[in-house]
Amino acid sequence: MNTKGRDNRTWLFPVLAISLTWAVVLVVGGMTSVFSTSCEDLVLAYETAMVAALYALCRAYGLRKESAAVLALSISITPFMFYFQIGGRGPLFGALPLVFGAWALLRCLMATKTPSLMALPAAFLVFLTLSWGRAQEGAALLIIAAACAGEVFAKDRRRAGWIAASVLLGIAAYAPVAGDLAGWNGGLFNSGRLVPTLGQVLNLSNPVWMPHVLSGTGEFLPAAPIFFAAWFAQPLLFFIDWRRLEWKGTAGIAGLAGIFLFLAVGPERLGPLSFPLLWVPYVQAALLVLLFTLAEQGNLVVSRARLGWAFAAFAVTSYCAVMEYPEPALHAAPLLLLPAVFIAALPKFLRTASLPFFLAVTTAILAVATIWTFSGAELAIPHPSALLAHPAAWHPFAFLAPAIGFAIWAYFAAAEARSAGRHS
Amino acid sequence: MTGRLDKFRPLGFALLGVFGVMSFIYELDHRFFFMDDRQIQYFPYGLVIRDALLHGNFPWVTIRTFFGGALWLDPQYGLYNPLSLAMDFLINREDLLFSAFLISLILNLLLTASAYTLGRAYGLQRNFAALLGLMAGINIYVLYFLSDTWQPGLISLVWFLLAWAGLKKLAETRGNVALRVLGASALIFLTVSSGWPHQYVALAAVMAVLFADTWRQDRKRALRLVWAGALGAIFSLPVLAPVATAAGYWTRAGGLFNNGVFTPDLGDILNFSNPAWLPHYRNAFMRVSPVPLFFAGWFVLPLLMMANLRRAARKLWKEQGGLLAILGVFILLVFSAQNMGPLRWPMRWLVDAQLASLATVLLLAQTTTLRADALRIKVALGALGVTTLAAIVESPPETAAVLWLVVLPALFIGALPFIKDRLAGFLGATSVVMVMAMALCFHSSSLFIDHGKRADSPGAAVADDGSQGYTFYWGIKEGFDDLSDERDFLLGGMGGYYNINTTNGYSSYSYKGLDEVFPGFHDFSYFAGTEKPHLAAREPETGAAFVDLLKISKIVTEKKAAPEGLGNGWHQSAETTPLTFEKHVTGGMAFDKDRLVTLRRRDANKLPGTVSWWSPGMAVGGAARPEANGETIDIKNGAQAGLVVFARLYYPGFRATLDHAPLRVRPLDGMLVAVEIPPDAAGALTLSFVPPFFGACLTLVALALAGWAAFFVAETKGRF
Repeated sequence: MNTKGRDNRTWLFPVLAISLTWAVVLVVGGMTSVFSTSCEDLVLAYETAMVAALYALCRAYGLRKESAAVLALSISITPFMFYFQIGGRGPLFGALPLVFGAWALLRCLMATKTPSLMALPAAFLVFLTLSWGRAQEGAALLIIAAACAGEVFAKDRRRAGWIAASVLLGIAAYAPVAGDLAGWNGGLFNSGRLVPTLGQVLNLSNPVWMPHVLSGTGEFLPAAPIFFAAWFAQPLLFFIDWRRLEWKGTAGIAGLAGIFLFLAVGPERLGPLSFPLLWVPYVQAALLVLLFTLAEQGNLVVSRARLGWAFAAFAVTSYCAVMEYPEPALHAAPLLLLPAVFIAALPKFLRTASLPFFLAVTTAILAVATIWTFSGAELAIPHPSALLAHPAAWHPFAFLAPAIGFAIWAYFAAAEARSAGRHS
Repeated sequence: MTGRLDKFRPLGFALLGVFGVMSFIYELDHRFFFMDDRQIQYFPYGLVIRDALLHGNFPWVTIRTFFGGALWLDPQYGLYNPLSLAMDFLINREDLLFSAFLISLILNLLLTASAYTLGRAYGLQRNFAALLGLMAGINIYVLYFLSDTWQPGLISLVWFLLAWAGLKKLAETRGNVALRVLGASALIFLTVSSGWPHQYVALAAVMAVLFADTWRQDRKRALRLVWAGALGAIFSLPVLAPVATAAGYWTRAGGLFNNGVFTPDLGDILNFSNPAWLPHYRNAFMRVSPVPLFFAGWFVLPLLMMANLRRAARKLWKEQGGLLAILGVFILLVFSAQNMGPLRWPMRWLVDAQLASLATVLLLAQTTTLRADALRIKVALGALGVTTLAAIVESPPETAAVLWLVVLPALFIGALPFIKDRLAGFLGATSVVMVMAMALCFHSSSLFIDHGKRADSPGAAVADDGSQGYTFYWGIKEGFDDLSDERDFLLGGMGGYYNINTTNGYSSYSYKGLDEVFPGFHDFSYFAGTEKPHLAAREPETGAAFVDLLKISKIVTEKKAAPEGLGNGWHQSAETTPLTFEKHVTGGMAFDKDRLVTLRRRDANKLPGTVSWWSPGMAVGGAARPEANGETIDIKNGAQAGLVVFARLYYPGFRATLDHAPLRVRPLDGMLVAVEIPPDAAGALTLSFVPPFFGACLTLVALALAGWAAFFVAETKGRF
């Protein structure tokens, strides 16, 4: 039994040759290879793990359960996930759920009563992430750990030490192959390939925003709204009373959002790191967690003027979307009706307990509509009808994700009913 | 008298600053202001127009007006624009480089004055208005993009800012306004006649916002804008009508698409305070801009940091809501698609947006108390640090080479707490220093000669031959010293788009979509091995090669290399082509990265005038006799109906007569002028060009003027 699994082929990743893509240990990869029977299963496993990890991450940042569920749902079904993580690199190469899980545990280390106990699973997840063999995910973890340790350092140096220790432990387990690091290609340059711009990354609320991004071969990527993450992110900005906000405690996540944003817009090559586009999920996760952290403070104000500004901002991003890629954007223009309707309905739900339910349902509706609209695009996931016709769709495992969704919905419904009962 | 002069002292200093910066750049490199389109279009056409005027032929709209230039659909040559015409008379064949500098200097000084006027119209104090003017004159985009090449863009900006100021004053003035209405409409006409369609849109946006803003306050005053707009539109008809009649071209050149060329992104727009910001942008190639193209003023971010933004924004919104709305529209325009109907390259709205935002920031600095305490200075320095980091991220090695430039704004920011009451003067003086330092850094760069330093440019390689270093489009060495040679213009008109017609992986994405714009022209290639039809391909109706129909005798261009050193198709020119081109490499070394490559046909076309083909069985004799707006040749046809093809781009308004009897003129393959000749016809075939609806347009202008005169008389008599 060859558990090491290391041979010449582990170096043969064609696209990211310079990245640490050799996955020598491949614990999770190995498990998925053993237990999965088809690629569709892997997708579902990946998505399930993603939802769980994101939920844990949001909870680690103190978000309410409902908010955590909404964000977990939104981020795990973004077009970026479908087009790049699942479609191109997904279950086989994507370690995002591991990173988000490790991020959650490292964050928990800042507050848990038993950091010594938490440090071990955190170290294990760091190890698993590194063993996945992607330089980007490794760098992300180091950045996250540094941010968490930095945030807690002034108040409690011991906890900062636990965070550092868990990361070092995870890294140490990888020491046997450290010598191969010398084989990495470095460099610092930017030729613009797979490098999004600031506007492209920040415009994450418009479902027809199909940005011009050059692929690795110098062509534009296919027209797909790869940066669309959450329709509600931009409108929420206008309903928050910014003057009454407490910024205390948000420095860490805000800093991470800033760092990830910088990494996402380039340069194309930064030592062993390449393809800044792959930082986009981190930016989106950090920004959305930050947004919900602020929104949960209860300083949401409903007014016609704010609704007007939200619509104006939506109109501007829609204009930019059409101008960026006119022909496909106009083709997909009917899709804009959905967020417009959702924005109009948002004030009704904004200060009620059913807001998360509303956001979750609308997110799901928009996700399906987006997939449907862009199903013809290259790299797009199959048309929903084709998905349903596929035998894998009726695999028992396939019902897990809807079951989770149903559980979330049931939870919201129960919470709302309880809340209504209390008010009455 | 001294007191009156004192009022203009700030403007004087601003003009001096512009003069200083431009002279400095000229001294650094005499060739700076003689670049690209100025060589291949504006100067040659300017000379043609000047010669026509000197011979008593006012070129209403010459044939060449519409077939020259990279944007041959745009009426760029300003035939009705006094400033454009005046500049034509400043071209000195003996010293093209100094002519270019002089013209640019004059235009930049005028631009400074017009921005000053606009600032004053919006209530800026004289010193802040002068600062606005200075920043317009030494704006990097203006210096490195408009002043050295796109002369009409510069002229249109001069008129546009004055028109904007005039309309603003018109909306605010109380009492008699007839003269102001005439003035504003004249400025509208001048903006339109300068031939830069982007400013048409900007002007329409300004008028719409001013109208809406004034309508809320006083409907009567708002109506004045309508009158001025209507009068201006009528005055502009002689310019616009010929263009409007060419609907076929508009639809061909139209369409709504974006291939990413000259389309800035959000980061580019936001980061206009950092002198080391070398953005990635796309023209024919994805490349790092060799100059900080979007830099508009080092002080913008620091001033924002020092102002009480919340209070200032509220005040500005209340008092200058119109200006903010205009700024918003301009920014949206900058973010628009690469091609919108006849408009392309949204970066051309950049200066409009930058000047509007500068005016806003200066109003803010003027109307609020700026606090330069330690914390705010630190925040300003922090912002500079962030933008510098962004610059490094954008183009690491390129930025590293010029990173020392960031020291200057850091020092200036540090000095701000010591500036008490001469803020505008300090900002102006430091800006001049800043732009001079940038010129030192970047004078050897060019937006058009790739990354090669000018000292190493193709022109430099042959600078000793008396051609002033520029032979590639207009070189004595190549035998094109006759500037009225029609073939030059054809090359100028179309070569620009042939150049980018390569299909290797690196450049094809950049201009994806141009096929839709120029289906007739762009489908050519002089490279073997591409998917496009070759220039040697046969035109179906005549059976002649396109290169013959176009009378192309030479194609000259430069090699442009992608940042990684990938070629852009030039390697393909090493292959044998069926065109019997000979490869001529100026400077000796073939296919060197920065060398000029010339492809020249062996057999020069000796057909008369611009005639490039005629049907078999027809005889065309003698030399062509040029006329003011055309030419005459002698023909004799056989028993079959025939066709004479001219190497001119077809445009509505061409007329042909055979001994004064009209003949049918039609486009050949959608692009060239073809005249149908009846069987057995013989005589003098005259091809001429008269702008469509020209008489009707002039009549309307006269009627509008008469109407205005009646209004003027009535107003002076107190009836209004």
